Amino acid sequence: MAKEAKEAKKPEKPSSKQKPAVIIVGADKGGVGKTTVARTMLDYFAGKNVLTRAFDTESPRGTLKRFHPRVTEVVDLTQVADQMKVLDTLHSSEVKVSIIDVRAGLLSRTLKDMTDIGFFDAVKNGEFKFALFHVLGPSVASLSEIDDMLPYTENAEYYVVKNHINDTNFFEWDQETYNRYFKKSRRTANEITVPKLNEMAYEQVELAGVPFVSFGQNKTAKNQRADYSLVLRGYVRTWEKAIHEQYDDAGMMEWATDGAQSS
Amino acid sequence: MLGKSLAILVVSPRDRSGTTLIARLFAEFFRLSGDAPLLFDTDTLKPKFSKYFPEAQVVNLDKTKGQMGLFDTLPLRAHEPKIVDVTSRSFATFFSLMRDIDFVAEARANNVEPVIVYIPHYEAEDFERGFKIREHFGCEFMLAENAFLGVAPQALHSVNSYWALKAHPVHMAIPLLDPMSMNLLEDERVSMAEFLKASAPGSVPPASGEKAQLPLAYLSLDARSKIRNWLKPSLREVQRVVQLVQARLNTPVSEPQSF
Repeated sequence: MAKEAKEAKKPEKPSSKQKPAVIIVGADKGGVGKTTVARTMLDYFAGKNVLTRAFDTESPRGTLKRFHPRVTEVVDLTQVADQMKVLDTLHSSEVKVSIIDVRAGLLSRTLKDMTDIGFFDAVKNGEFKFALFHVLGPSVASLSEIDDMLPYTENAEYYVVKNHINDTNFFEWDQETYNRYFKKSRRTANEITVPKLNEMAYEQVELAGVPFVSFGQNKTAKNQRADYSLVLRGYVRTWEKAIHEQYDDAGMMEWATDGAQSS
Repeated sequence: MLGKSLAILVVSPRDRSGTTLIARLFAEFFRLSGDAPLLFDTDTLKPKFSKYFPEAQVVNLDKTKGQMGLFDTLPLRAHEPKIVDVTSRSFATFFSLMRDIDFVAEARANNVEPVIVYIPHYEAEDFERGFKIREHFGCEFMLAENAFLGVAPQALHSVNSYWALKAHPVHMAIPLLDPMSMNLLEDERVSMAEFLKASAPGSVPPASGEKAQLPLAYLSLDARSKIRNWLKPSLREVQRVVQLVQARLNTPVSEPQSF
């Protein structure tokens, strides 16, 4: 029985036919919580036993790497060598889901660079799958970023993320204003809303330097039993569950694994 | 007492249901049994429980620190009973937190069993709520019927949740005490345990000019006897349900007391 349970937890190797999936999380504004979103996504796939690798473009430091060191590599996507490290390995890597957390302000530039090296042609030809998680700020101005992103989302999954975690518990724009950005292009976007997380809980996860899921499970970075507050752990678990349910509703799991693995 | 310890959560969705009174009875019972219960008062607006027990911690469930003060402490110190007075003001917040942080699982992982002592008014809505709470949390539950709240009207007999809770295996009933005696017992200076000792036959009343420790010390013998005749069966009732829950949990039972 114990052996069965152990085997059930082991991440499954994806089938060789599974198309590599690239997920970019970014924004052209700083401080909107891109890395938080990338962290919830890594927890989501880990919870579904899907092997995932992550690239943190906050070179040389890397916030994402601090929380998910085992699966994250810090890269500078403006450098050819690092572009090769990410993109040339998409087919050869056993890990078929790659998450790229793009440094603040570099989203447009990164997408342009990826166009130049033929990434979007490869997406169009069906070699890779691509999803863009565009994290918006609370101001109306941030909506104008949507216009800049739409050309890159033609053959992709486009997610607009409203992030309330950084005290942005108000949004200047309403749904009608937001919809106008998609009318012209007849596109729609999946919407993900990241709810506010209790400040003290967020702060304690930062101090602990562990994935949200580990904090919720009371584990240290070395997978040993920690001594975090039950209340704060509860806040983190409930918060992350609400986000993961939205990923489920948006069909992320089926999309990333070609429907091969589902919860 | 070794084995599982109990976290007694005395709750009611309505005001003036007797949560503080029943929480007091549990606290006095454990003290008389030689335990040192940890006590919590969740009503910051009109704290009553902590007036009877100054060592009780008053926790503000609207603040994260207050929430941590209660829910982070309850699963600890596994060998001591815990008693929480959850008045109607904190009822909704208390249960939403309890659900969100998965308190029952955490407490059980630390050898602490939450026991919800639910006091309804005789309204269909209260029984529906109690039923949902029992089904949702799946921890030990007891229906507490407080005779001060009257009797169930006929209309309630057609409500399924009423019968479901009435048929619950752990069920306590607090007898009626006349309003004047209850007023006396509600005096913040009154300790039920001290009253039992001071009013026992053969105890010496304060000498003339000597200051009484308890305001009840000057009561007539008739009044003393009325209160004692309410207090003793009430404590015996608490003892019965505590022992019943302990037996259900297969944990050592509290030393029987002769009240």
